Amino acid sequence: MVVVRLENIKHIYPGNVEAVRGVSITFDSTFNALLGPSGCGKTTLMKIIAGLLRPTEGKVYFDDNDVTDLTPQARNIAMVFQFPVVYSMSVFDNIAFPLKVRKTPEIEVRKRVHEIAKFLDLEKVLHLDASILDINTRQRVAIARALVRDPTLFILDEPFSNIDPSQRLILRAKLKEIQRDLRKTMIFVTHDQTEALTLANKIAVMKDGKILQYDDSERIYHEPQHIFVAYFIGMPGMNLLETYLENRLLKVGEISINVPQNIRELLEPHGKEFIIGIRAEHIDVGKEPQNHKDIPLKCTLIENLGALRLLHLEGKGITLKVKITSALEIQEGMILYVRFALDKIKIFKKSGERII
Amino acid sequence: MVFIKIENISKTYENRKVLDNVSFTINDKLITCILGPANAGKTTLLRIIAGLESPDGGCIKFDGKDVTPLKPIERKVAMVFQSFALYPHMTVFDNIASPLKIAKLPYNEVKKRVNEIAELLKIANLLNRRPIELSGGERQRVAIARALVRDDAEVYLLDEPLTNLDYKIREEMRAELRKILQERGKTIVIASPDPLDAFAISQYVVILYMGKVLQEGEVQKVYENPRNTLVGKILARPAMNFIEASVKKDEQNYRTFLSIEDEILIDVTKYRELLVEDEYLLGIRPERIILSSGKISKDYIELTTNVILTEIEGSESIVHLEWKDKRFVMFNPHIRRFNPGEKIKICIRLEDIYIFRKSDGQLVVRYGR
Repeated sequence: MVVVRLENIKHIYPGNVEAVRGVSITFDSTFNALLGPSGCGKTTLMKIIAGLLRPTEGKVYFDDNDVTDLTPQARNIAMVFQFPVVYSMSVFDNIAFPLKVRKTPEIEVRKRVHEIAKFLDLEKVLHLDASILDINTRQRVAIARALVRDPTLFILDEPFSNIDPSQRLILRAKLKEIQRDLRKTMIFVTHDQTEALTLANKIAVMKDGKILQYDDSERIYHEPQHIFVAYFIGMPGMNLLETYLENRLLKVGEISINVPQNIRELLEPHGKEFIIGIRAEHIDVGKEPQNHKDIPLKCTLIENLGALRLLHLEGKGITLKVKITSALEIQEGMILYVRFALDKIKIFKKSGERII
Repeated sequence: MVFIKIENISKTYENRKVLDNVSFTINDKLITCILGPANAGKTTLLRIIAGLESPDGGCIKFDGKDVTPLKPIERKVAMVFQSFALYPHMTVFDNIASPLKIAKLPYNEVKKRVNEIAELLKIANLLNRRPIELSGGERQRVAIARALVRDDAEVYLLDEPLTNLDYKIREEMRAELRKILQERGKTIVIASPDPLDAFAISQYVVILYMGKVLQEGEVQKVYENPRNTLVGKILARPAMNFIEASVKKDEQNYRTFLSIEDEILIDVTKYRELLVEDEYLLGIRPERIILSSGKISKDYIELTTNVILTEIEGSESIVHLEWKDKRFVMFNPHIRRFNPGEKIKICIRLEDIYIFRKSDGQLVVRYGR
């Protein structure tokens, strides 16, 4: 149940490549995901937490202990990587390995290995050479070996990327069960929003060497604190529109939105230009206007996604994506009337940070 | 635009039948998607249409004319390969321009066309870079640009154009690609393993599986009327659920039922003539499974299930459920998280049930139709 705290971590690779650019974050003792696109610095940050890489600057704390100079072994970390690491020995010996290194009594070893093997459905292969097994089973062996001892922290680096989809579901469910039962701190590194949203209780979104938001997975989706988070999370990403404040109105393309004074007061210190965001499912459309405020937009493209449709709408100097699940009969080229509740709108600074 | 007919195409590699008597038509006015899992034969089929490979049997007709003996260049076909090869020593500009230079177009025209297509594919800022400096997604877009820069082609074949892209780029490219392709006004064929590509980009789908065409037709029609269980799995997101059911007869009252685990009986008396076997599979679309409101009419069946896991896929939820060792998947078009182990009541409208034969997986009837 360790709390991992990073204090102003920077990392510069030879050739002056700045991979991590000042990260301060406290990972709670729960199931965390570190999520970001490829090249965002998440693997570098993970290596720094694990002790595989010494940061150019900054400190790593486990609870109140400075572990910056400690090896991965001394930090007592269990790791699972994208490509399973197994030794050419029996599955039993693979799983038992960390216990034997720690000189655990034989009887205890056998009990623990069998427990974990049962949980991960490895009982039938315990006697087989792990290196000849298929990749799905090898990854289960690697997870079992990580789980068999009592580490301070679990780090999982895209462990399911190379696993068959059918197996992936089972392993995801198991992993969630493990975290719930063992109550261990986990950090799951991934570029896949589905993996992060499905598994983690808290998600840190990373971009260009910085953490943009660390929050509950629900809030990451519903209350993004940065335009990148709003764009990166969700399918589709949030609609983001440039806007400027003029007198009492927010001008978006040719559309004017009346802004109450309290909101205006919040915006004014940040200048005139902003970005507003609204999720595709929070926009209502109809073939007829419901009132004079409805915005007429042309439907330029309909993406049929099976159970739902994504409409691309254009006009009045804006483009919007709108998601509908109804059977409303729509063709490309039609004019549709759009409306949305003001409280669904998020307002961001031009530089990306959320204001409202 | 070219109307293409694929007639009885077969191809065998090293004793493996990659394509087995494949026939279908490619309408010149609809974007066609050849949808199928890995090893279905998609790439081989595209290569045969392009003329890069010759079939063991059968023929390809363009506008009624047999082109099977023609070379690729004579067929006016442009192809984007899945494992695209860019020229590593050339800039992005020169890579895209290469088919035009071969065609000996004047430089001004080349420049104009390359800039236009680069703008469309959002790679205009990369024109001076070399392939090694690009991400996988950017390289893929360069490859697409190189195929689309030619406008002398009448047929464009794209082999898994979105497969190697990050999900965010895929999301954007899917819509972009369709716009670009539609504006082309040419015959377009896409091969993909991803049903989303079939749904979102194409209007006509050909389901290919182990070298055979399982079904073809307008996307929505095939989705609503899958001919067999495989089509129900392939053109779906997520795959259709299947539950076993066996025929039970109440001879005294002349009623016929399909029984699920001896617990749920569905009256199928009106289909008794069709149900001549003992075992059937009931197919249910994940998006048709809904939470029970408590009051259930006779038009629904209700199950109390155990949640295994909720997968949150972007803005949607895929809930994996268990009922008596049977697995179900429920699809919610919004985020709704159920915890593993939670018990939830689901219901299914009888009209949403497809009845397939267990013996060969063929559709017998859709309930209520």
